[in-house]
Amino acid sequence: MLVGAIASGALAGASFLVVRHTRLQDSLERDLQRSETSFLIATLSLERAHNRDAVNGLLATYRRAPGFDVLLTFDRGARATKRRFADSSIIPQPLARAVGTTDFEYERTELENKPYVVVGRAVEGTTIKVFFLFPEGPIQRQISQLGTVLFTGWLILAAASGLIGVLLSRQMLTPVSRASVAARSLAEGLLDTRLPVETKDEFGTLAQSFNEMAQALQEKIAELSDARERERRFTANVAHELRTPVAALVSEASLVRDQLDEIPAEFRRPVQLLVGDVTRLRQLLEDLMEISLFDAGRQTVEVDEVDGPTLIRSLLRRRGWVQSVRLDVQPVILRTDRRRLERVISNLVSNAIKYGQVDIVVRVRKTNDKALIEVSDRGPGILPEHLPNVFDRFFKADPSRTGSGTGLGLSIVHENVRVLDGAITVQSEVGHGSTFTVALPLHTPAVYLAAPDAGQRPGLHHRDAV
Amino acid sequence: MTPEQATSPYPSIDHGVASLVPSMDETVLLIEDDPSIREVIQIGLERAGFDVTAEADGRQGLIRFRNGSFDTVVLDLMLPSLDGLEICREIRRDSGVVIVILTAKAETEDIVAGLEVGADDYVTKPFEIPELTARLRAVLRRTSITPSGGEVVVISGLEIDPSAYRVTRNGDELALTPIEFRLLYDLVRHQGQVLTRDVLLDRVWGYDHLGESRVVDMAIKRLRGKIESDPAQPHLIHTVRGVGYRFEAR
Repeated sequence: MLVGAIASGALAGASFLVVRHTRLQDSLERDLQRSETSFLIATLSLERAHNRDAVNGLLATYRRAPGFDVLLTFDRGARATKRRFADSSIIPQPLARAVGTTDFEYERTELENKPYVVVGRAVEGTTIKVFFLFPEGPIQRQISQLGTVLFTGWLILAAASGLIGVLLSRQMLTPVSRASVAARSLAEGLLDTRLPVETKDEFGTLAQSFNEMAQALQEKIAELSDARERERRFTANVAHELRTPVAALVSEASLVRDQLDEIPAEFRRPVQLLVGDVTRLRQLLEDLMEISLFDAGRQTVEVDEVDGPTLIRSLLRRRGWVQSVRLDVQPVILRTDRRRLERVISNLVSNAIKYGQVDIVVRVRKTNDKALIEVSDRGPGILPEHLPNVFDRFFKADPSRTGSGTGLGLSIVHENVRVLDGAITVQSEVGHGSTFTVALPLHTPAVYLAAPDAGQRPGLHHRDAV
Repeated sequence: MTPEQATSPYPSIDHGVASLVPSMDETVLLIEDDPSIREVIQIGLERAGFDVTAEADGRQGLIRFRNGSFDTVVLDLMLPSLDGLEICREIRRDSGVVIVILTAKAETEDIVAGLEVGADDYVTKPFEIPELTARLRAVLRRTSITPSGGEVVVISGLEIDPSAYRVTRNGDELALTPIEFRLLYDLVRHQGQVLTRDVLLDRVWGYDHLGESRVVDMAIKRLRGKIESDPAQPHLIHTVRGVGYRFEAR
């Protein structure tokens, strides 16, 4: 069908071009012939005398000839069969220069916005040049009419053949194509997609089983997402309820910690432990809060220009890690969320310090459209069977190590990398250490979310200054 | 004198007029509904030498503020009876008192909203008491001293008088808080130069916030709302993307 449309289109186009060319050529030859005879009159009448009377006579003769106008140019000034053409500047410059006594020169041009063929030649023995002005408007009009007719015909033909093709194929493909469309929309997440069961043949059976499968899938997914949603809400609620008492604990512990000397010696150690555990509890809660924000889909991405190496250096300095980490960084500028990038690097480095301990290196490389950030250590490494789980929540490769980690650090890294449109991979060899590689796009799009409870808070929409 | 002191129009706490100001406890109005947190903050601030009035209820807190005289208000945003943002807005109607809000770290919209209605600074829960006292001290040190010696600057219809903490635009007095005033004066004194957020944090708020540039951005926003004829298209305080701010009358 498409082939037919293209072929007929090409045929129509080609024939149009051929006709156009021959018609224009014909008309030009006719113009040149008429110029030749008319020019003869000019040479004859001007040979005798080229004064005012001779010129007037000549123009009078020309005025009687139909279908064209004549312009005579002299050293100074010009005369024409029509007053409005009596101006030598209407002749295109290249033509005016090219005109000589031996042969005719011509050029297609526009006079008063209409297409003309101008043919010119100089009269021997004088400075007079004769220009014949043949209007080409009628012939051009004919040609464009022809083009319209051909194009319209082609359109009708193409549309008709297309319609026939569609009608034919639809009749043949209906059940199969419907099933494929349905499968695709199911795959795209429209879980309530069903097929109509119309016939008793194999198509009917297909539709029946398709619907059963879709039903089962829908129920299973609903079940799973309900459970996930319950778990998510529980995490968020726990974190939320813990917030206030933990905030109080942190403030209280900070006061006690600064007055350790005043506490009787035998209680000093328990108080120290208490203060340390409050810090751990605080860290765990902050991690939980962050994870529950990811679960709720409430992450904004605030994009800013970030100088990679500078960010890493300042982070290491602030966390007191300068001594324990070696840097190998290439300059790279990213447009990304500064806070999230810091979180990613800080969690990876703190993880490396906790578990890898030795030879920690942070590497930064730049490719065409990505920044690669690598954190490696030469610690004990991760067992191959544990590798797929390292980004899971509360996963600890060695359950006996109840140390300082919350078990959420790497899942937070994973979530942050995800919202930054990046990817994270881990390579590890037992006894040789681990390498985490984060690939981030140089440009991460910003994501702004309205506060979900914005409507209830009087202040949130208030945008005026005080 | 360090170069910082040499360029500052305000006498520092160790030099000049400030030492003549009689030393007295700075007063804090604390509005916080959780009893444990309220009590521990009160104990902590009192130990640090502040004179603390504590209030659990928002409406009561506002009444206390109107009937008393305070150097600082420390305000929890989530309060029963009257929302912290509303209190902040009410206070700002007629007072430039230093306001520090307490919020949960996750509630970034709350932080932005609080700074927008005129809070000078924020501390996220959970926090350690020394962190809060350090912030209060720093902000108070920069704003409570009676400045003197600075020259009146007239620029673009603005008349800035550092000795009176007064700014007028075409003769009308503008209600700037001390923080906003310092911010404006600092930018004007370095007009044509870009001042980074870190530099402004250090000079105006008086401590290293480390990446908390939101405080600066929101104060600039409030300031623009007061001094610019069209805050959406500022003609005085210009943002230099990725760097900071520059004052230039164009």
